[in-house]
Amino acid sequence: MSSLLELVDLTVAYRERGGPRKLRAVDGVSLVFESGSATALVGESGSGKSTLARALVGLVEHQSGSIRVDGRDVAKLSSRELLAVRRRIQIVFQDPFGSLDPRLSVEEVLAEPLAIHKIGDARSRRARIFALLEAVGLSTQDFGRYPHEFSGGQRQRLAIARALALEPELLILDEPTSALDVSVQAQILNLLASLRERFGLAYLFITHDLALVRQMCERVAVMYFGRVVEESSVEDFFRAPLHPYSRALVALARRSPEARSLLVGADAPSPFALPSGCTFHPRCPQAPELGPRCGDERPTLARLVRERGPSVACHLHDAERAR
Amino acid sequence: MSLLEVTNLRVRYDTPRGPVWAVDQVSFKLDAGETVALVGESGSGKSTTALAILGLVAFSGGTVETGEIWFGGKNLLALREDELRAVRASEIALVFQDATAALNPFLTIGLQIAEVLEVHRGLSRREALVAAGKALGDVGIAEPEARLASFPHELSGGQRQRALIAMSLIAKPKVVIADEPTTALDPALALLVLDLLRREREQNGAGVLLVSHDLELVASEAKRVHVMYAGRVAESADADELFAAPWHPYTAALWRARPRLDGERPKRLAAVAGAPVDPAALPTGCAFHPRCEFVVERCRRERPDLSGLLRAEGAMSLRSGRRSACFEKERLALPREEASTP
Repeated sequence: MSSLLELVDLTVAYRERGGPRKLRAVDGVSLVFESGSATALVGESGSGKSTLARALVGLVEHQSGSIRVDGRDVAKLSSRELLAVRRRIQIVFQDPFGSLDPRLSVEEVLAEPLAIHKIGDARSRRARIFALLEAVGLSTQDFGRYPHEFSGGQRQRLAIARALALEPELLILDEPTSALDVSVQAQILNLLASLRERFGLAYLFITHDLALVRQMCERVAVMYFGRVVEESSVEDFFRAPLHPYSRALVALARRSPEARSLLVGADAPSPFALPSGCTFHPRCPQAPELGPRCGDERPTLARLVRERGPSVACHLHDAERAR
Repeated sequence: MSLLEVTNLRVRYDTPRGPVWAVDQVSFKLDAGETVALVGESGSGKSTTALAILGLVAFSGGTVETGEIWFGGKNLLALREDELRAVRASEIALVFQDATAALNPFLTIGLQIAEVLEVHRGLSRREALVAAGKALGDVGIAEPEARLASFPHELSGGQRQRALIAMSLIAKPKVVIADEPTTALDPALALLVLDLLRREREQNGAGVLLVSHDLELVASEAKRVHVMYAGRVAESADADELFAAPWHPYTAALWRARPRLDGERPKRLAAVAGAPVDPAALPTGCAFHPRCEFVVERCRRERPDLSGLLRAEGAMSLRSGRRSACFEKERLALPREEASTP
């Protein structure tokens, strides 16, 4: 596998509405996405995972660091090269009711990206649209219908077809099934699994649902207030999460009674007044053992000695860092 | 006698596409100190049932056609609006999901909580504020007296959720309706909300009606579960029995379709075919039949009633009140006697 997309020390900051304060929604994130891989980005609301997704497709600007595709910084590309890069990374949003223009028919929804990227003529576009409908399990008879005539699951199929129209290599899926009923969620997840095999796609799942991560992904990155605190294989993550925050997330998802002892207090800090040192330390049950280091010094994300092993940003693991 | 008893509830909405019965022949009981769950997907009627108990169906544009809702010796459906208002909030409370939307941004937390006691318990402002401060402390808010003067936006998300629960529960309601109480919440806050609901049940003997689409949540929180589909109860059972061996193909399909945190990881999920039911265009016969893998000819013609098993083993079900609205329930309930099903 080769690296398709690489984030180097990426930072995205927002200014508080009507106020002087700044918020680093994404704060120095470095991650690599391999061709054909499925990675999950998990974290609570406000962790920056959706902002990161939007930065990857150019919907928000980053302030520092870089987004590299095939090793080239996208900020340094010509507009023509940038258009070609955009084509390779597409996004599917959570809410298929909000993300589809109600005035456009199925044909128009799917023809639009082809027209913008000047792909094909009217005839070949039509053939491409039929192929897309077939690929996502919609009927070619749905061609002239409008989004409001579809169920939530069908709309999400249409949103997926639109994202696939440009034959991307990486699909960013921002909570793609959380607005759907349980019985429909499985259909969409199975569809995504088949599409990945069929087209050799890489996925980046933005989600808070750890069961979905386990079903769909091979790698997982955990975000906490803009920073990645752990990155590992899904197998390692569920067997032995390393960061104390990851441990709490896994225990909470399993509804394990020990979850209560893994987070000190239920309340997250204000994003405008983040704790010093390790952002997690006031909620961390292990910070007291480690002394003042956790409050003083921000741990960096570092790979542990094991081969292709997990990376973690926590002073508990300082001794095991790979040099 | 049960704390709350709903019998034969039927709710109609008149829509441009004709009448829709969002709730149809729904009956269940809730006892003090227990959690009962209504579980189902969109269009199942679970939230409309909750609205009916709160007497709010008319405000949502619907009509209660038939049924009775007995609480404290009174049929709530026969009460006048002013009588109902006294019951609501003081004896039957709703725990909202979204604290930011449910709290008034222009009033301090203290005044919002105190108002419940002033209106429903006749306390003075001063007494009510003292009680409100204590209630905030009870839900784990630090320096509760100081927080009384805070406006909702000055609190963190977690504190707002705590304050909202304190407000919902301050009048010591006998019935707490929790409609998707944790869906939009981060896991740590969800756990807090569940702990507070459990405490209300265990310490104050409240009955909790949990309305949710989340099977895992229901399995861990509820004693008794009613699975709803297309406005009707598809299956009623104790939670442990229900998820160990469902008696309705819909329950079985939903339970199998979810991705899991532990155990086997299948290459593909066991998806339920088809789309959720459209209440305005119900299929004939059993509403689930177009999606059902156990379908037989009769399912297309007749609607099955909710009932126990007919065979000898069914005597157990009569005792536990376990029931399923499926003609083929024996194939699910007693699979050893049958050739294996597809």
